[in-house]
Amino acid sequence: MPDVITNIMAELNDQQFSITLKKGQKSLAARDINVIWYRRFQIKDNLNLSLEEFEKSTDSEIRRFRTSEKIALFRSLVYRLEDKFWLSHPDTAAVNKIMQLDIARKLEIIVPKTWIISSKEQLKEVLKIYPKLALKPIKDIRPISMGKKFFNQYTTIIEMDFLDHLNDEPFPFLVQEYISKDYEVRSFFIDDEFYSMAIFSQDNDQTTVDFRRYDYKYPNRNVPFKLPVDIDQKLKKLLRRLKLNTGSIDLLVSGDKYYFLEVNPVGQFGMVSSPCNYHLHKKIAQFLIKQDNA
Amino acid sequence: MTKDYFILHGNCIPVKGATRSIICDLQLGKYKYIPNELYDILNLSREHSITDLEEKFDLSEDGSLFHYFEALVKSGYGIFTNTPELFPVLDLEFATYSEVTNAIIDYNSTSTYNLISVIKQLEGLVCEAVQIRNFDGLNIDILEKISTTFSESSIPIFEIILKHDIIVEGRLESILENNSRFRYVIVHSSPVDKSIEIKNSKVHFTKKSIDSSSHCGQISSFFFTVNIESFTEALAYNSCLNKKISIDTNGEIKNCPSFEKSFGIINNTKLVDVLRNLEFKKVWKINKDQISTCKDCEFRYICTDCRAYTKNGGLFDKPQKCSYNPYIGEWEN
Repeated sequence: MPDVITNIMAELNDQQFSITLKKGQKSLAARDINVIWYRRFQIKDNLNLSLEEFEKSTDSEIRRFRTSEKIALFRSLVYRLEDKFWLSHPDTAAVNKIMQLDIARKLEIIVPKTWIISSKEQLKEVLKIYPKLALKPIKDIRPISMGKKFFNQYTTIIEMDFLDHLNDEPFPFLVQEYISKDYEVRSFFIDDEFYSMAIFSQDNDQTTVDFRRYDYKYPNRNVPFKLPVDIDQKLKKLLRRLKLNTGSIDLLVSGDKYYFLEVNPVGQFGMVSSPCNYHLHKKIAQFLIKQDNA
Repeated sequence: MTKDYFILHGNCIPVKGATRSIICDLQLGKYKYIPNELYDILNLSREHSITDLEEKFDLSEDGSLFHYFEALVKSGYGIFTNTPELFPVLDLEFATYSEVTNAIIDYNSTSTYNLISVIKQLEGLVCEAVQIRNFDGLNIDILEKISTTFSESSIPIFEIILKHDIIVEGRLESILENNSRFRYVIVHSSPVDKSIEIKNSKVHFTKKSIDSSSHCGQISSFFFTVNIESFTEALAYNSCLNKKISIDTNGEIKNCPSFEKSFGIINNTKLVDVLRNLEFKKVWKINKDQISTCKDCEFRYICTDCRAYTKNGGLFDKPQKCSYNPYIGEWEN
């Protein structure tokens, strides 16, 4: 069972800068840490305002201040642990999709044509040439809750009629040429090796565009996959360029073409590990132990 | 574009029996019968093109091999491809982090050992599933104590089999409302047969009397499990006893309550010490390939097993309560 840290205490004086993480009676000093497996950083915020307080305009400012304080604390912790081994360093983990695509392109990895749209006219011009486009966030999916409903920014196909929903100068968004695929590949990278899975989602209308719209009745076929050697090499080069020592890469395969979509540095590996019996939990644990003893 | 190869999906594994074979779909949890002839061909199809295979094997009946393959593609078991080397067969290694995954604890009105301490020990061993069996009636206070201990523990799956009595039936609902970790509750010797659901628990009342551990060891297609974990486990280990620890009603620690051999009394022996005893783990390694008849059965890696009740009483004989005959491919009654 992972321990959730209940206290972070830092002390800076003439002699030292120490940080201690505590949970109940257990404590862990930064100097005793060799290896960090970075997934995400969260501080539970007990800011508990009454409804009246909540509705005051100052509330969002309070939240913004607290968020900025949280980030500063996190940065201090990262700074204190700078010389340690990180499995995904938070700085490199922050690279966004469009930056990744550009670096991939330079390494001669095939990427879908990509635009960031901020005017209706611009989108119209693109749609004239590519009548089908995939709409997705520039960075990550962030579930948004509105009342009791949840909204996920799943990849969506748009066509000319999408223009009807748009004002002249919309909030910037990313679109890519729609690739008709044979199957998708998700590759998890650890200890210099890819563990890949092919996802046959094309047969299923519900998941054709985004396999995360799971169909529980007719699930996609998920099978172990081995990247062709040249793709394997290029993707390893890409990860080195992005300074990532782990990550989850999404690809589309169309004929003999492998389209790179993105790499998620703190991506899920369970969805690759269990269908393919890769035992990635064990491999990650063994890798971390190896680094800890190095 | 024509595709030269047919391959089964990497998680669809063919298993050959004496008279027929099955393809086990470890992803979707189902299986499909195929003739043994096709089994041999499928084992070669990753390295040999369809044309090659058609030349090598002359399938006189049912038209061409291609039609067999087409049917398998249609039913979702495989694909046509030009790059079979990119679709490896599933790695069939079995691995689990805990030393014990399941436990059977028999507890009767005459039992004198401390059940709560046993549950705590199992929690310490990161055991995933615990089944408690009671044959002759369980005091309601003990049932409540068990329930509380489990709801406070990190053991994810918990089942209980117990004898019906009026007090238990009356209190069961409130107990289950407070403990979502009971997956199954079986109440035997009940005046009526009925099945109900209370919160996350399935509760079955049965008129049958389960008055001793000798009711265990049933083998039927009803108990087949088709998934990666149990298939890979059955390939290398015993599909009943691997990573199992049991305590019988007298507090004897055993591989299975129905076994003779005891590894100590729970009152003065720790479970963790029994697990250090290599002798205890010996039966874990009896896979189906070592068991007579089972080794020729197409269901051997999706079936349960029983080493306590066997055909001629031998440790390597087929389960006594199995009525399937793989040599004619039929269930006999």
